[in-house]
Amino acid sequence: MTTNLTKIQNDLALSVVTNSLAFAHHIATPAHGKKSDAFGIYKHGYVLRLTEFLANDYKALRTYIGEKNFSQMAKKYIEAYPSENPNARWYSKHLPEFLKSYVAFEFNPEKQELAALELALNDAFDSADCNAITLQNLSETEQSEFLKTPLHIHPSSRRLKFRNNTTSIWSALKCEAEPPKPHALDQMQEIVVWRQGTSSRFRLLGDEEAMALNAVADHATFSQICELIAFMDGAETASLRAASYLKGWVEAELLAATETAGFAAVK
Amino acid sequence: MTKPTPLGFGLGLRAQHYAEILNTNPEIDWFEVISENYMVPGGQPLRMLDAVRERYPVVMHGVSLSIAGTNPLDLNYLAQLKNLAQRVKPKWISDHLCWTGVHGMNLHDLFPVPYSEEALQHVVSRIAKVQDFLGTRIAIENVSSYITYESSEMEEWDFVAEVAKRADCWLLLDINNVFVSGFNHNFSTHAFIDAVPVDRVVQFHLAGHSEGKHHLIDTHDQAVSEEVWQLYERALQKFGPITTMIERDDNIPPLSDLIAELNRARSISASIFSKVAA
Repeated sequence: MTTNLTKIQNDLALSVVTNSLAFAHHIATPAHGKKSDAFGIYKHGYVLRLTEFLANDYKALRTYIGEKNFSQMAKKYIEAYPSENPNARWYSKHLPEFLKSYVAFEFNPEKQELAALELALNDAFDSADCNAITLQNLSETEQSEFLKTPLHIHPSSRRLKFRNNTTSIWSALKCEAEPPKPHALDQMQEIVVWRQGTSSRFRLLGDEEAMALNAVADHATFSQICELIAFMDGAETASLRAASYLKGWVEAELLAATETAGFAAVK
Repeated sequence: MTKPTPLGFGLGLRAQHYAEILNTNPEIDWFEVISENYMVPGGQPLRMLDAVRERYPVVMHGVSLSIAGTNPLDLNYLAQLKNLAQRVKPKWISDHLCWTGVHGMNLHDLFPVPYSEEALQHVVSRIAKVQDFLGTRIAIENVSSYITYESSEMEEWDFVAEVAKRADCWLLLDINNVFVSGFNHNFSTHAFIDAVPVDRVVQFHLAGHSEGKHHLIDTHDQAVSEEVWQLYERALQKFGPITTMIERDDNIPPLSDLIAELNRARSISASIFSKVAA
């Protein structure tokens, strides 16, 4: 089947992504310019287009490192990661991983973290829809029932751990302000990223809330969360602290209302 | 074979214009959406699409079907496309007469095929499979191109016409692409328009292009050129009142600018068909 067509497409694709000149055997002498001019439009377009996909998905990183550095980084990324998905939406997803070993950023770990934050925000933005538990749902649920109901975290949520003041840098860039100087934090920062309504958000978490939210991700009940955080600090105030976290999560639309959990879900 | 009812004059739905469209319900007859932009799990893109769909007819236009590709058809992609179509209920689904990658290399560009009997049979057989899978005729668009092949055996317009006939599919005639390729390959744009069968064309695209050193480039980043407007007029005279849209993908201007361009298309069409009626 289509042996000539297959050979043509293989040779042209290879000529786009590498320096192969195999395309020249297949294409006719153009009406204007040379074969390399005509084919160069596709070759140039490939890098331009993939760089644009990256720029769209990593706007803060691009502003932070500048156009020239971004283009150099994009060129290396494109070499390392040929596009594996026909949908351009997913092309940039390996960038945070790629930057872990990108030599030019070796001494700037906040750049890798900035990319990780932008990836999480992008992924939360168009992740699967799911109704969130509302305060009304809670008020309509029998307390004894609720205490033993497994909780579910919203499917848009992602967790990150940063060692640098990356969130402050992102916030400044988002407001088009001068970002602060990068520096390492005294202790690692826990972050949750999720979608509220149609907007992606992130929030810093204290140790106790981070642990409680981990338990939610494992479908713990509210009673189990109370027991868990009782170990962290004063047991006598554990229920109050847990209730405060719960209210914050519900108001932020961080808890998924699943039918199995008995919440009929209003968004 | 009855063509779908013409939709009038539409625009590509772009995220920059979501709020204005939903707040002001502008006088645009229909919207074309890039299918891939909505082949995502959820969130704002699909919510906006649902909201626009409630008010306007929608057509789905893809860029990654790779109908001329020599890899097996991407069933995962097709399943997502079908799911989206079931949600959107588009007036029709279109993609390009091209290949976009091979062996796991996605080039994210629209590569032409050699206009040969071998390629013709290959493309026709794949369109038939896609139409069977989707349960509907699809519309295939002629692309702008910068290369031609040694192994081509016929003119592009004969190839396009033969694809439509043998595959029993619709055609989306991109007037700007005819103009760009006509310049790049030094062919007569009138010959192209004249050869395309009237009973297959369901939609026109109008778009802007840029001038490269040796070639015209199909950039969709500026207004429709005067030459393309002239070719549009000729196409309307041949094909009748065909569903028309302005395709803008980069350097996106305010919605009012695009509506002004769309109104020029309306006005050209009205002028031609009022004369015919008279």
